[in-house]
Parts: sequence; structure tokens; C-alpha cells
Amino acid sequence: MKRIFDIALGILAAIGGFVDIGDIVFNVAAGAIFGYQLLWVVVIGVGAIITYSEMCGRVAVVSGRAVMDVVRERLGFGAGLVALIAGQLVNLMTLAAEIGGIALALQLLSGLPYRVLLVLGVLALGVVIWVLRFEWIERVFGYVGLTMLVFAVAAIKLRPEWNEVASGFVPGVPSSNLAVYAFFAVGLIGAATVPYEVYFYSSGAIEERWTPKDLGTNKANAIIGYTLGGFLSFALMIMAGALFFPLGISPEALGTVALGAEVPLGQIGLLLALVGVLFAVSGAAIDTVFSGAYNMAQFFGWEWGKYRKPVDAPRFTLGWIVMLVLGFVIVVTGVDPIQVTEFSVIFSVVALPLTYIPILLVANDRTYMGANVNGKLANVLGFLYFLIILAIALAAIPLMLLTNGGQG
Amino acid sequence: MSKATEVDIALGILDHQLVDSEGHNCGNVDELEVRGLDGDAPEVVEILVGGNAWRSRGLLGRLAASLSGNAVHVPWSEVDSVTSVVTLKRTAEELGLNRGDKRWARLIGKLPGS
Amino acid sequence: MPLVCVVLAAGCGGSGALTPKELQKEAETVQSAAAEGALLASDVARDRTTEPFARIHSGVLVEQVKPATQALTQGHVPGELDARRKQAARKAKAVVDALEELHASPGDRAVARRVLRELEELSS
Repeated sequence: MKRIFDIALGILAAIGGFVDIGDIVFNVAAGAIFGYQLLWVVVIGVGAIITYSEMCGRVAVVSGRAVMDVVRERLGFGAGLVALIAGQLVNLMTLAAEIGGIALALQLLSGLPYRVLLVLGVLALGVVIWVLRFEWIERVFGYVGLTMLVFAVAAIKLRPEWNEVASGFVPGVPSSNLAVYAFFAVGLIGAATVPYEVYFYSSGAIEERWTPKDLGTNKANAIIGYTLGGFLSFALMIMAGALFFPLGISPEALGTVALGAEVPLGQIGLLLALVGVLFAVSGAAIDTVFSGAYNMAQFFGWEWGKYRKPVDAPRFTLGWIVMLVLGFVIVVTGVDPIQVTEFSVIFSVVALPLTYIPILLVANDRTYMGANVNGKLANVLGFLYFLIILAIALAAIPLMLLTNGGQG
Repeated sequence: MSKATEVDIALGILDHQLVDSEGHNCGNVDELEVRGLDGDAPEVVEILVGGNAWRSRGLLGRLAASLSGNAVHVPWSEVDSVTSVVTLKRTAEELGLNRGDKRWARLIGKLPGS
Repeated sequence: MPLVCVVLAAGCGGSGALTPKELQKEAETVQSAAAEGALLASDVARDRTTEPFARIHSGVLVEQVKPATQALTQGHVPGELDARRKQAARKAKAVVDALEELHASPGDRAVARRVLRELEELSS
């Protein structure tokens, strides 16, 4: 019974933590421009992250090693270093976007100046990471992030044409604006599969001391948790499709996203939306910070882990502090966090194959996995998604340039 | 042991995690000093960890090495067992490994609650 | 999402020739802000929002429209389209004015009702 309770809690945390600033920006923008037509692409993105998270979690649980740990062993020093550098650059951009998102959400809630909130936000993140235990961090931000469900309520209350929504799940191409459509397809899948998620998921499994008997928990978290989390992405797109698309509103700010909950649900909708965004994005920021520290420590073989006292893993600790500071430095220059979000998602798409191929290789390697190597399903899905990832990695930058970043 | 197997060991443990006798991570196998490769009894003399051990690991390795200090030499006799990680017989402290952590621990230790 | 403005940092919102496509884009930006401003004003009028949110977000909308207003006012389009440009520029200025009114009095329901009427007219 306790086991089911634990699994349920894990799933709740996974749902609340599924959405980050990239998902919010791309799902709402896609809904505003194309209505419900890109819903089927979100399904692909969710499927990809489920497949690879389950693999990462299984690798960590069975071999006791996290992803970047193994990247170097499997691909060698040179390729591993390239993966590390690319991963860290993308992590930093993502982190800057998320810190900016936190400050924007706080600003919309409090009315205080943005720059002040940037400083406060980063300090708060630092204190939370320093003081709270790993499990508590994940739980707190995951559970409160569940208030993002207000967007599901909002989407329903906006009375979309449900048969139109349903047809959005059928793959298709639009009659015009094909390049912009493709750009958003790339961005949507990219936002769902950002590298820090898998790095973090595998190291997180070790932080939480999962053992081979937790293989079921891993599957449940990844499959049920992320499927339900995917519904939040749908909700964002449907809300935008129902409210912004008919009015020709092009969302360029976080406030527009919150407005989508306020219009159907009033003040309570607004507040739940802003709190939900704040906690979901904060959770994502912390995951990204850790991801950067994990990658460094694992590549160089240092002691790592939030479960260790800071003084027992000093370089790892220094790693996450430096990540946080660098992320702050990038965003305090005054760049628009929404713009940084787009850049970070598109560039992370380019780095995706480098992130995901080691996972696929290791998950099939008996020396690490023993009997728990990928089954047929995991390999078929893993390979198919990898082809998709490769395709969008090649198309990402050309599409971004061709469409002026989705402007058309 | 045959020549092929010994060279295999050398290739098999490169880039693997090093763990000391207390279970602490202490770097990776960054390079191996192998003696007698052209003879019929090549053996691993020592493991090089960190610093300019990356000199021989390609272009990026040379770049990384030029930015680092000296590597730590761990004699092969210090190796206890080889699985997916390489376990050592003594602690990192005794072998001169994890100097980086020692250095930074002093600073981190100054913060409250560390 | 004016990504290209970040990258190029020139020729955006400045004076010069406007292509018909650019004219269309700027007009769409104005329309978007007007429609969104109307949603916000409606919520302020019916006390369905908070003051900090209304103040901050109306300010954001003003900043969104200002470059378009400048581009429409200072640019020129060849031929008959120039009349359209002038009309779009007038509309843009009116939208900015309405949004700035809302931004200055984010809790005033009477102001919000007036701004709502103006923006609804402008975005129809």
C-alpha cells in the first residue's frame, strides 16, 4: 500500500514538474498561431521524453551510473567532452530563460521591479537548493506546480470546438505558412525533450537511491507521470487556440499566458496560473542547475550528489553555485527571457542527438544493463524517436533563420 | 595472460570511474602508462589521473591538458579490482587524489550548514 | 516573437521604406495588442484581475506596440498603400494612448470601461 502511495506521489511530482518555460512559450504560441493543428506534434514530443526518460532511469537504477558518467566511458574523452560542452552551453541558456521566467512571474504577481526580482529569485533558488534535501525540492516544486492544472480548467471553460481539437491530434500540414508550422513543430518537440531533463532524471534516480527493485517505479513515473504531464501541454495549446487564435493575439509575454487563465476564470485563475508557472519554472531551473553540476562532476569523476553534505562534494557544490551565478549574469544583461527561451529550445534541439545517442547505446549494452537491456519496444521507439530527433536537429537552425524565429 | 587480453584491459578501463577504498569517487582513468607493448608481455605500469594526463587523448585532450596542472600517477599495484569502476586499495587522500575537492572543501566549509 | 530584431538590431522600427509585407506585419502587431488590451481592460472593468498584473501587463503591451507605431508613422509605402499606412499609424497611436491610460490607472474600473470601448472599436 505504501508502495502505491509512493508511486502516486512520484507521479504527481512528475506532472507538476513536466512543464517548463520552453513548453509554456512554444505551446501557447503554437496554439495562438495555428489553433489546434499542432496537438499531434506534442504527442510525439511527449512520447520521446517518456521513452528516453524510462531508458535513462533504467540505466541509472541498474548500473548505478548516470548518463554523463557513462557518456565518457562509452564515447571516449573527445566525444564526451564535446557532449559536455554542448550540454553545458545549452543548460546555461535554458537556465537563463528560466530565471527570467521566474522574475517575470514574480513581477506579475507583485508588481515589483523585474531586476530586483531577478536578484531575489536567484538568491531564493540558492537558499532552497542549499537548505532543502533533494526529495523535498522535487516534491515541493512538483506539487505546487500542479496548480498549472488551472490551464486545463481554463481550456475547458473557454468552450473550444472539441471536434476541431480532436482533429488537431491527426497529423497534417497547414494550407499556408508551412515553414512557420515546421518551425513550431521543431520547437514543440524540442521543448518537450530538452537535454537537462534526461541528465537530471538519471542522476535524480541515484540521488533518490533507487535500486533495481525500483524499476517499476521508474516505469510508472516516466510513463504515467509524463503522459499526464503532457496533458498540461495540450491544455496550454488548447487554451491559446480557443482564446488567442480567433482574436489574432500573438503571445509575446508571460502575462499573455496568464491572461489565458484569467479571462475564463477571473482573479483566482490568474493567481493559480502565476503561482503554477512560478513553481513549475523554478523547479525546472533547479533541475537545470543540478544538471549542469552533475554533468561536470560526472565527466571528471568527482564526488557528486545533493545527498552528500556540501563539504563532502565541494567541486560539485561549487559547480551548481557557479551555474546559478552564470545563469543570472546572462539574464541580468536585460535580454528578454521569452526570446532567450526560443533560442535555448532551438539550440538544444541541435544538441539533442549528442545527448540521446549515448542513452540508446548504453541502454542496449549488457555490460552495464545485464538482463535489463532494452526490450524490443524500447528499441523500436528509441530508434524511431532518434530518427525524428536527428531530423529536427538538422532542420532547426535553417528553419529558425528562414522564418525569422517563427515570425514568418 | 595473453598480449591481446592485457591490451584489452588497458582499453577496457580507460575513462572509467576510479573509486577509492572508502567508496569515494576520485577521478577517472584519464590515461594509462603501458610498458612493453611491442614485446610479448605488455603490462599497465600506472594510471594517470587528471591534469595533463589528457595530452594523448586527441586534439581536445591536448587543449584540456594545456589548461591543467600535473597529473597524479597511481601505480597499477594500487588497484584492488576492476569492474565497471576501478577500485583502489587505499584512500584518495593517501594516493594524492581528489586534491581539487580538498582545496575547495576549505572554502565551501566556511558557508553555514555545509 | 521579434527574434530578428535581436539579431539584426537595425532597421527595425526606424524610418525608411516599408514593404507591403512589413506593413501587414506591423498592422497585425497593433491588432494583437488592441485585442489583448481589450481582454485586459474588460477584466479590470469587472474586477476580475489584480492591480499589479494589470499595471505590469498593460505596460508590456505598450512596449509591444510602440516600435510598430514608430515604423508605421515614419515609414513610407509606395503608391496607394500609403493611405493604408497612414490609417494604420493613426490606429496604432490610438491603441498606445488607450493602453497607456489603462497602465496609469490599473485599478480604475471607469477608466477601464472607457479603454475597453476604445480598444473594441479599434480592433473590430
